[in-house]
Amino acid sequence: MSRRVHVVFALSLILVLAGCATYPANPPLAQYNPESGYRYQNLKAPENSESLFVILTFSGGGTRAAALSYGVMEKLRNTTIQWEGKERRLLDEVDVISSVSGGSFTAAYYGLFRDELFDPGKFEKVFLYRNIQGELVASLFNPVNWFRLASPTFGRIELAAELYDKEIFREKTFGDLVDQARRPYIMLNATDITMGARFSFVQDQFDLICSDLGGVHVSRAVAASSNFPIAFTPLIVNNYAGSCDFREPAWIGQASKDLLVNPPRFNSARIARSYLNSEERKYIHLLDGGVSDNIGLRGQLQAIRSNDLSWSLVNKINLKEIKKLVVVVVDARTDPKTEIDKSPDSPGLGTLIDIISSVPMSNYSFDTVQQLLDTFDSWRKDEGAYAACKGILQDQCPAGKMPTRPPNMAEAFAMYVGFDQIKDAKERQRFLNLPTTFALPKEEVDKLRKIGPQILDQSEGFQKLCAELRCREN
Amino acid sequence: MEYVVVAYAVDRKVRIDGQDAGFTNDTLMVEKGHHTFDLGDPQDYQPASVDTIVQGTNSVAPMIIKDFHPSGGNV
Repeated sequence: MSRRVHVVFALSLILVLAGCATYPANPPLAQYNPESGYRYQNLKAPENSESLFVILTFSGGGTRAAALSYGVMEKLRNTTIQWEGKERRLLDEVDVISSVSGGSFTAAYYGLFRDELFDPGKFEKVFLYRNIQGELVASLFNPVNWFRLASPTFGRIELAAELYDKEIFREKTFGDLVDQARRPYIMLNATDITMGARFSFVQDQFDLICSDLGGVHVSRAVAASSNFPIAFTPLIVNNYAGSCDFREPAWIGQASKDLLVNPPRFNSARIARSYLNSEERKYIHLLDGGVSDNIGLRGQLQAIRSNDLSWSLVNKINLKEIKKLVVVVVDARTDPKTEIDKSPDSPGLGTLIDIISSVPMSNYSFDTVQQLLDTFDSWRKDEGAYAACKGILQDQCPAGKMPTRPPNMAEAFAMYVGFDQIKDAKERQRFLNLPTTFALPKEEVDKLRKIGPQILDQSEGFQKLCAELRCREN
Repeated sequence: MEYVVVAYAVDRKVRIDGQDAGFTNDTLMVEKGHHTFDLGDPQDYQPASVDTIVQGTNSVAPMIIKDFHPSGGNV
């Protein structure tokens, strides 16, 4: 009898503990206010000019991606430039960092703690050189967590978010980023799995679900951004749409008419409107940002090509605020050797999941970079066409005048930092075969920190930019 | 990229879909598609806004929106 009581008591305790365990819900937004919250326009930058606009994008790839982007950050910190009569670090001119998965650890840490990123014993210790993967696995073997994981609203991703919160990001929230009010604007990107769409942790996105991003821990954004499918469970975000007097931005209604004129713009509006139905979409399920864009560049492309975003770069160029636009894509893409094509046997489930979750996105990333290059090329061609036309007019009809003014353009620089650019074939293959994990040996991390700056240094875009900005390496 | 000139008697800001997006009489870069153009505050002009589809333009032959004129006067 006594034994039966113990069993019943134990089972009851399990049920109670399981019932108590749930994810920390993102808070509702009391009143929609497009002037407040974590938005680009609310970030001041006394030492950062708008005229030289620098965007960094950090890809996914676990610690490999974090270390590669860290090396690029070190390079920018060590590079001094001359701009508008002032000398400053190139790092201090960075306006936006958009990241996915492993790259989000570097981006978020810099956003919160600035130059502390580079202090020995800080980011290196809490993340880069640390066996985070081992600690995540160990947390699964903790019996207390077994009870918590029995709850349907407490998935494995919550253990990761808790670890990141306590050990890496010191329980900081987006409210802390709002209080800092400093650039760069950190865009941590996850994927809304229902829509297959990018979900950025910025207030413009959270307005759609009437939630106050300021009350969300940065660690949750990083966990969502690096939420590798299957290994973790989706991270849940509550949708309170309809409760904050949200006013739909005008572009959404206009873009909704663009199905046959501009399908991607129509799709952006369709996705935005999907959040407004909080009955159908009461809970948003988020996975790794790499599922929708593994280099964190798609959102930036939208800002570069569209007038729709609240921080549209096209608008800033039209307003003559930007003179030079620099985009540095840091892509830790690998090309791991596979044995499956050497045998007629069907590959295992793990191998298949690995391939499905990474190979198509790697191919998509090439297309994304191409779109960036095409956009910049089209600007140059359009500028050239106007100049050529004006030249012909002046030649044929010296008194003639162009009927319209030339478009305002920014000088555009695109740089790509990826292992494919390593010249030495053996070294290139070594980097292209690094695993995706949150536990890399220190020697590998150090090599990644060195190779990023080398690739950037060798890139034509960086050399051209540096010639114009009179770069000096410290 | 598409190109639009919003013609007006004086140089002032232009808004596209409710956001500051350039200046009147400049050649503005605009994404292809449906847009609403207006001149923001002060609202001393007519019409209050112009809705149009922007497509098929280039930097040499932009779309020219000539609808706006100061309230009570002609351009």
